[in-house]
Amino acid sequence: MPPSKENQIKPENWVDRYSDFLFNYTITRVNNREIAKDLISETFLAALKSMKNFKGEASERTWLVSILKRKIIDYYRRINSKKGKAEVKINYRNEGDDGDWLEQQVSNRDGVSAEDDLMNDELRTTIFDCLATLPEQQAKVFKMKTIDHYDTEAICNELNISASNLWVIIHRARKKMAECMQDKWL
Amino acid sequence: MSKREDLQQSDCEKYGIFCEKCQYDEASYWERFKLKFHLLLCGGCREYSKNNTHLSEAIRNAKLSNLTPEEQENFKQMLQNNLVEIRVNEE
Repeated sequence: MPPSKENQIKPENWVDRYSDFLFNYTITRVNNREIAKDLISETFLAALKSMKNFKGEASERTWLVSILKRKIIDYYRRINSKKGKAEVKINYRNEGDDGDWLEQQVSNRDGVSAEDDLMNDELRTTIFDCLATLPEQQAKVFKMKTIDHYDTEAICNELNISASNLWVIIHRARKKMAECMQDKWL
Repeated sequence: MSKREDLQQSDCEKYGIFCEKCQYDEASYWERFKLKFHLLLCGGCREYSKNNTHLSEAIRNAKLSNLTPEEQENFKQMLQNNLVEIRVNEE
């Protein structure tokens, strides 16, 4: 079956549509900006190479995330094999369970429970889904103000809008965000 | 819509904006005072104000951090270059 129209691959749009989502997904798992960026680069490259195999069964984003997940696990395998075996054995007593432990570390570092991660994943997914429904400028101003914590003045200068204009845009954006997230999260 | 409803709506729009400024801690003393007074009278705005605070909390809890425009541009360049390469190879 050929991919349906909304499930077609468009690498030109990947950065605008998914890079923030993928970046947040990665950085909560590797805790390092540069490494997160490298993993996303690797993901994009791998995705370009396997574009032909995309069957259009999942959304483009789900497909990219599935590639990214493998890259993150590979990354953990890499750093753990560098650490040396003695350390590995101290961290993990059951030698018989070799197959599982890397993945367990991925989801259980620093006392953050897998459940917290899952909830935050869902929350982030909802936020990005809702952001995607906003008109472009509203989404942009909202992100700059709320996520990047830019000063009002800096945003006004960069986008060439007045402060009162900015607050009107913020108000419209937040109204829609609140509506969109209400059922599940507010 | 009657003139009165119309007036009320534009009023709530104004207080909605005061409410946004409060979320980012940028409301002046007077704006906060006027908003508080209005919230006593207006159930709609009270509801919105409550949801708005929850929205701020949810976003704080999600601990989001975005790529800078430069970082995004680098990704775009990288994709563009590789895409050209792949298409050339295909031909």
